[in-house]
Amino acid sequence: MKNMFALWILLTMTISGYAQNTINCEEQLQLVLNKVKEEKDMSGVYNHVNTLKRLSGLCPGEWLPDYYIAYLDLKLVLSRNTDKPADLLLEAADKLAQLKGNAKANASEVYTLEGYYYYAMIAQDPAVNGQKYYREVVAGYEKAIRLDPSNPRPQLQLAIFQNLMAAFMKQTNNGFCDKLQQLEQTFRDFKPASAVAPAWGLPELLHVRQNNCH
Amino acid sequence: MRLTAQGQQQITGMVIDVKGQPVEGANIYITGTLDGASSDKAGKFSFATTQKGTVILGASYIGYKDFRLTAPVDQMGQLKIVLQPSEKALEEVVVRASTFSLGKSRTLEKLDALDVVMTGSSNGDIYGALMSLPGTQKVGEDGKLYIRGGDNRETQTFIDGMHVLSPYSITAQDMPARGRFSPFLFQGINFSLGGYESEFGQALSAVLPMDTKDVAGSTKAGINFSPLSAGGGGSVAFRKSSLSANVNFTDLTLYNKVLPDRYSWKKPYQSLSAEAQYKTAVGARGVFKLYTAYDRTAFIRTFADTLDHVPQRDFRLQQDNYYLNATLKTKTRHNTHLFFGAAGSYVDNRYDNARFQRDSYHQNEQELHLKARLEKNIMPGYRLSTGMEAYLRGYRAVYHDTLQQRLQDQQVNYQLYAAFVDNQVRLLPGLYANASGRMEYAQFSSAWNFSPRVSLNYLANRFQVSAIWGRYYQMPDNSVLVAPHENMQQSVASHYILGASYEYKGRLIKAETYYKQYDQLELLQQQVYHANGYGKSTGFDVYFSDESSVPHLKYNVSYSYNDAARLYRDFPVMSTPLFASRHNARMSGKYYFPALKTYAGVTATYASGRPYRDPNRDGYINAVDKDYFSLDANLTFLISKQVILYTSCGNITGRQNTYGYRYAPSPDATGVYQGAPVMASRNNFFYIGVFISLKSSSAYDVSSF
Repeated sequence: MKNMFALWILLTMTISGYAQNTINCEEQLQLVLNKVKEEKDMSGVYNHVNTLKRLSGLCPGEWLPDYYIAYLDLKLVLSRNTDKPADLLLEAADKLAQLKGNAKANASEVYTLEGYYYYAMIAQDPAVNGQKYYREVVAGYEKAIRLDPSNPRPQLQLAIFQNLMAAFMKQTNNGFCDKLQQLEQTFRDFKPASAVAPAWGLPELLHVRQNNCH
Repeated sequence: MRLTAQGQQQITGMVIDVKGQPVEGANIYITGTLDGASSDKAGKFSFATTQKGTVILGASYIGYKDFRLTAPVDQMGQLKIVLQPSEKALEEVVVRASTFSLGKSRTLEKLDALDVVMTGSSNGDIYGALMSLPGTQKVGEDGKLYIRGGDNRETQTFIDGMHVLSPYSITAQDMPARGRFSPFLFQGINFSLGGYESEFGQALSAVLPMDTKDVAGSTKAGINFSPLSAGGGGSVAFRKSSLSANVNFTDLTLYNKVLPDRYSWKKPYQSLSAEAQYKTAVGARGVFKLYTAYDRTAFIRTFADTLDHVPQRDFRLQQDNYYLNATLKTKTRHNTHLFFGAAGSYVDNRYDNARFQRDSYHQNEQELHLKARLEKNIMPGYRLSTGMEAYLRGYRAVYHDTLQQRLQDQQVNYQLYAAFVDNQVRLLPGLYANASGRMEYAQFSSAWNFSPRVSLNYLANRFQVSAIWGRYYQMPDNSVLVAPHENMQQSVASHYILGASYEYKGRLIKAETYYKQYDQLELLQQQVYHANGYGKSTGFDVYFSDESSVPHLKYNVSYSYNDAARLYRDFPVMSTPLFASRHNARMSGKYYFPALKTYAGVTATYASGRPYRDPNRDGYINAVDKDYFSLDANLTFLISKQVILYTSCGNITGRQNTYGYRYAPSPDATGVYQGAPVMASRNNFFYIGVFISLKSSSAYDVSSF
């Protein structure tokens, strides 16, 4: 009976391990990201965030599911398509803390996300939070640039933030459009490490340029 | 339960919270698979799975405990899932009683470096800004922190958990001191006005633990200058580390020429302060910080103690103040937080022409502080923190008379060892208890002392109520230890605190009442110190802050009542200490004018008159001074994103505040003790300075760290 029990435990463990091994994390992630791309309604993105959470549970130690959970949470907060921004910010902060402790994670992308997180915090209440968090936004992006000078995302986000700051200061940021022009090339030169590695930013750049540079 | 065409099972149901409200966005899934769905606005969900037999269904949403249901998959139709609110992790529990968590917690009492600078009464000084909080006492002639009827040395400062022996700059008599440290160095300040954790000992009234910022994210540099000071600094950020430095030089020569004070200066006040910090990540979870600060202050003031009939002399002061602090914080894979720290302080004071022309008084003090601490969540609802520390202290004072003969050479060296344990327990949802203890061995008195502390806190969503009892020990001042004494012991204070707070949409109201009982205070009896002194301090504080009612306006109002009395030092009878006033009220506000790109900060401070001793009357402390009032303001102009113009004015109304009276030691020919009011060296203080960030990407970042 004892031996049978041990065999059952062994079989259970093997089957459970097999079940996890059969998940191809990258493939699954690609599927979710494709669905996110196809999503017309921003509010529907949260369903995919939940799928990513399930994927994160099946792919322990992988950083990309956590990265995209935090990124999409922040996109939802910034799009104002959620009535629970505080919950999403809390979740993003939690994922950021996990990413910082994950040696596999691309540190430049993680610090880009950190700057983005504080940017989302400011967007919640610019008058109160602007003064509190603007340094963290700049520091996050600058650290990301230092860690990987070829990463276009922190450069774009920093340029956008500085342009907003200039507007807040009622100043003109003359170099903004040139910077966007230059960054477009940086985006085109950037080669993501894999099909699912962070590659966002270029559509935002084009959109910002269309609205700001004539 | 429905079987789909492909043999899939359909799982449906609804997610609600304990109040029966639907939870939108919850993640419902079969564990170990990708099968799942999100709940909609009505809390409803539906998804198909190919799983067969018994499965585990999970449901989760941030802020709620994870839900688990183990059942055959074909029985999972029309599920009703009730999510229970999750308890905060013990390390996230922020107890507001008696504490102002500045910049560190998610509570409203956020005060970052810019808030410090923009507090009307601060003049860019951390201690000045803290004086706008309840429980503090305005003592204008020395500028130090006096908390809830306690003396200034009863409040101790810690940087990254390590003690600072001398956190203030030295000044001339009746000139307010300032904190030595740049407010921009810190990311969080936990100012506790009593009932603090047993990790912090050697403080009878309050502790001010300040945490320096983490590794700098960006390289930056800046300079600043004003008619009385110039400085600069910056940070160099590396991949995993950063090196920051800051230097400031202050010289009041020009300022005194334009706006002379009441004093006669042969060499006006000058100070050089420098600080540097190296920070580096250690592995994925650790950080090492090495911080050092140096201050040199010097001046020569020509004056005579006319009341004491001491002739005019050129009083010369020179202080060198060194501080070094190294800490390592790390977390193991098993979530055990470890901390190791070492801090050294050395303060050298040299006074020439101290009492008479050509005499000298030389005093130095040093301290080595070592600490190790471990923190761990032992089980859900129980967090343990424990550690040990040692203080090694030395003090020497030498006096040479006008003929340079050594009349006095006093010194003392002693060690103090302590171990502390702090147990934080969740008793019931929202109800937390903390029981901690600190055992100290004071080598000076060969005595063991035990300091227990118990707190009970109820934390609802917006409301908190706390009750704290704690006992704290502190060594008498070194000047007492080197004087003739018998059976000296550590002084002891017991704190009883009851407080409540309510936070609502950017507004916070706090009310606290406290009782402090002092024992074993130093008492001078027949020219010998004994530990026979005692005292009490009781009162209440009320605080209201609001950052949401009026756009761009952040303000707070507070009132403190205190009734203190002691028998200590040379008091012949139990009396109110000279620094304690009964009523203290403050109002502080900061407003941003978007059109002008200007922040304006205003602080109004009121304190009822302080007691003093008039030898011409019967009794000991037998008179009360007039009330204190000061209106302070500052303006911060954002000239460009790299240039800030900062200007401040202390005591705008020019009111002549007095801080009691000093009297001659003996009566004059008519039998009257002549006296003079104690006043600050000047009524107003004006400052104008320019801060320039040398980095083009910086948005008004004047921080060097």
